[in-house]
Amino acid sequence: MRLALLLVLVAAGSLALSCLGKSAPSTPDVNSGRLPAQEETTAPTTQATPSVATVSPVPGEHRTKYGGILVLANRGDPAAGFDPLRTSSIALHHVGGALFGPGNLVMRCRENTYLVCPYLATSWLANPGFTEWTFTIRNGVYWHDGTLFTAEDAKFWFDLAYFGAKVGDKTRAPAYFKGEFGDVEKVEVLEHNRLRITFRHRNPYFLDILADPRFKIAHPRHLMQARIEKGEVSISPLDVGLVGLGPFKLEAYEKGSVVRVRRSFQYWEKDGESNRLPYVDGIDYVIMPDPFAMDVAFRTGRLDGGARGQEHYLTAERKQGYVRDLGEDVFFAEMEGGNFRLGFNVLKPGPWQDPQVRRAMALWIDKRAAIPSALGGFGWTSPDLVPPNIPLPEIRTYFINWPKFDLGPLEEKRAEARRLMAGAGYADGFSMGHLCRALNPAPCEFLKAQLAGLGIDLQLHVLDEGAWSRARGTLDYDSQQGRLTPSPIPEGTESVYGRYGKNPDAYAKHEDPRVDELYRRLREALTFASRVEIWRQIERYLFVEQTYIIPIAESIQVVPYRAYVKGLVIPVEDGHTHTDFATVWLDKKKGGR
Amino acid sequence: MRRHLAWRLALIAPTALAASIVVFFALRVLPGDIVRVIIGDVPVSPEVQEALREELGLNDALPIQYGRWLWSMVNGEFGGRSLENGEPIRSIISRHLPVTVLLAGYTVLLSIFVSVPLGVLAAVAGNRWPDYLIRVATLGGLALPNLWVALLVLLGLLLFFRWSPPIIYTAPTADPWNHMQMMVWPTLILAWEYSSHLVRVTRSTMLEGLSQAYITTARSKGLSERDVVLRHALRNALIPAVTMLGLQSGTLLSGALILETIFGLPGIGRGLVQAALARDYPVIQSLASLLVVLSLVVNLGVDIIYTLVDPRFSRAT
Repeated sequence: MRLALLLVLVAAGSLALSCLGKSAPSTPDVNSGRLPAQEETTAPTTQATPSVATVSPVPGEHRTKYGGILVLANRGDPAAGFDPLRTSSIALHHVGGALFGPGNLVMRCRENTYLVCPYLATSWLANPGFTEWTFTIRNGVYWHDGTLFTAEDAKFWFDLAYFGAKVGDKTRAPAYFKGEFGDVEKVEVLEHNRLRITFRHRNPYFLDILADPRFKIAHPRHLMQARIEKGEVSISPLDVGLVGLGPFKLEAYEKGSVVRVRRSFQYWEKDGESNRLPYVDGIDYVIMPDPFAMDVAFRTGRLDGGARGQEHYLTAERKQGYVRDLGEDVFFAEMEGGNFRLGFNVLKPGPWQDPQVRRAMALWIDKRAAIPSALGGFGWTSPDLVPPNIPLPEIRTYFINWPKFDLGPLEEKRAEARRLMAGAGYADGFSMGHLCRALNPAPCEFLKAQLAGLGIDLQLHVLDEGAWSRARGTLDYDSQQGRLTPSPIPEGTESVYGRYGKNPDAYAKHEDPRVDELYRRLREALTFASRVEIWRQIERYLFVEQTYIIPIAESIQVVPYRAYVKGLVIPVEDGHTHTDFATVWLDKKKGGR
Repeated sequence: MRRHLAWRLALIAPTALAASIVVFFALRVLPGDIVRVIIGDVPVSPEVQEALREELGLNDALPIQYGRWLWSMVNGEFGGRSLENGEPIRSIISRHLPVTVLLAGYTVLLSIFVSVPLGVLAAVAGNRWPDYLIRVATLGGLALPNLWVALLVLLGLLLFFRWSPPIIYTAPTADPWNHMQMMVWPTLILAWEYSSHLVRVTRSTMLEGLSQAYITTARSKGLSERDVVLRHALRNALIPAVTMLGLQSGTLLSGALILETIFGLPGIGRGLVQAALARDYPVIQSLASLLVVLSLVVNLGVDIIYTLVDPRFSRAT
């Protein structure tokens, strides 16, 4: 009885928080540590709205209508046989949202990316210790071949993702995101189409993690299980015909040319007026690896929308071309695109092992200059809090890694930087290697030009994707930069800021046990206030006291769409989110251009 | 002649084998890791990476990996499966090859039809305006990188005609009009470069031939200028042109590789670039071996054409 009461209280608290999270955000004083009183709770902060997952048409839009084919560019062929357990590639997720759906058992809400909404589960309960999560699977959800989706399917997917598979001497690796799930002990199917996941340790933020749009269920048990048991352990969704659960089903995949998906008439989601989703008849994803070719095709009317992904996101210069040619016939989706930062490998000998040197470099870099030079003209940095056109919710501004430190005048900071360099014995500078991605060399060139002023000769090692992907996980380099949104929740940032021994892929390479300790305290925080307070400590430690990482500026990702593309749900951040296009409709005739 | 051709044919297999060994071990020396490429730009635990590496067979000894790949080349699997997406390489090749063969075929045909007459015209016109015009045009074809030309063409089509080529490739049998619109621009750009070599070689050998004694003899016999040029001078001038046709096949393929990406053609060049960036070893090895064999076959074809153009070659061998 007590347990039931506690669970009811947790659910009520969660619901209240969800409502609070939707209130108009005010600009918080992120340095003061002052917190909104209503967010003091023992429950996770971004919690579920246990309601029916229907979709409201975007406010202010005309009445929706059915029909038409949406033509979008895609950066490349989806990798790894369209397998979301294998790859985080945006080339897959841009297509995968339509085929496999926008979420897992839960999803990021369409109205607010920072809230969790039901998707393939209708409701859930956690035990008081947050070591058991029980989901009730939605009835009436069908795979594209007409097979009913059940808790058994969900268990099959969780087992495959977390444990992989082993048949004889053949082994299937678990999903690349296995570590993010936490320490899973077992996954069980319960009666009444329910699924229970048991963790060895407390996992209060499991819903936030599970709502990550990368974790799509794309593995039909009825088509895969028997083949895996026969030894085909590496089977991919493509091998079984891309039978998914999303709003669109595959019509044709011509590799290197186009992925054609068409409306699935069995899809269960409805809009606020009980109309079935999706609205458009289908989507053609045209494979366009060359961004210039994409620009030309869009500007001549062959595309309704651009591709998501580095290189294909517009720069200010390219956007001008679109506006010049198309005027009001085009609009631009803008998404927060992650922090441009410089990370040091302090495990490799060199002057950068001295915290004073790293701090001097942090003070020296003109962060505002990075926006036109390194981020294609779209971004924001100190002292701005958030870009005016990307309304980050209040809660998120507490956790985003914007460079909120060192807000003084640049001249003063640079004078201090010179003093620190002299104090460290490097008044004349030094030479430092820098890992550079050939796909996007502009940030490297920016850093090289900036640090030259401090006497630092940044030696750029420009590598193609294959070599860069490998090198960044090693200790062979001196420094590197990244531009990835680590996670919308602070606990998720350990994988990019944590100790090397535990996180070999982290942007900065260090073996500082203090960072371990801080993250442990963060995970164990029971109130929102203490969570923010510890996050402040982590930031100050990582970015100021030790300066393992220099946050420079937040990038903005810009994707063009034709003005007649209506109902598009644009995530505030993370271009992987809301790629299902289920709410999109085309308004080509009635005044839409 | 038959013995010579049989010998050349027999050499193809060991040459291809040697090339495959070089390609295989060169790829292993290159930095890069397909496991990381597959996973993408996200942090992943070393255990997961190691498990995936094991699953893909990348932990086996290199000779075992090579042997496995070689066996798959001869048992009909043509290289096995792509590491990146598990697709049979046979299916990758059957999809990519026709596009590249068509593009290269159109280019070669157009080049032959254009360059031989232009080369003859330039030689006959000798230092007059048609000659200058043709030489300037061929200089452009040789000097301008086709990547740059392709971007300019796209930009020109956009700015002047508000038009761009279609973006979804179709086979000529499925939609000839769409196919033609997609192929015409890369074909023209490639043919400009490819035929520039042929025009210059044809012109210079024609000029050399026209000053030979046998041409003077032909003229003194009262043959028409047309017969002198086409039946006597041109026939000799064609031999170096045919050689150039074979030698430039590599240039043609490398040009196709770039233009396929820009014009959205799912050809073998684009497939090779994608595989190289992903470090998809079996695909690179198989496609590179295919290109080696193609190159050897083209050169064999050139040898056969020699015998048709110049019977002395047949007698000598």
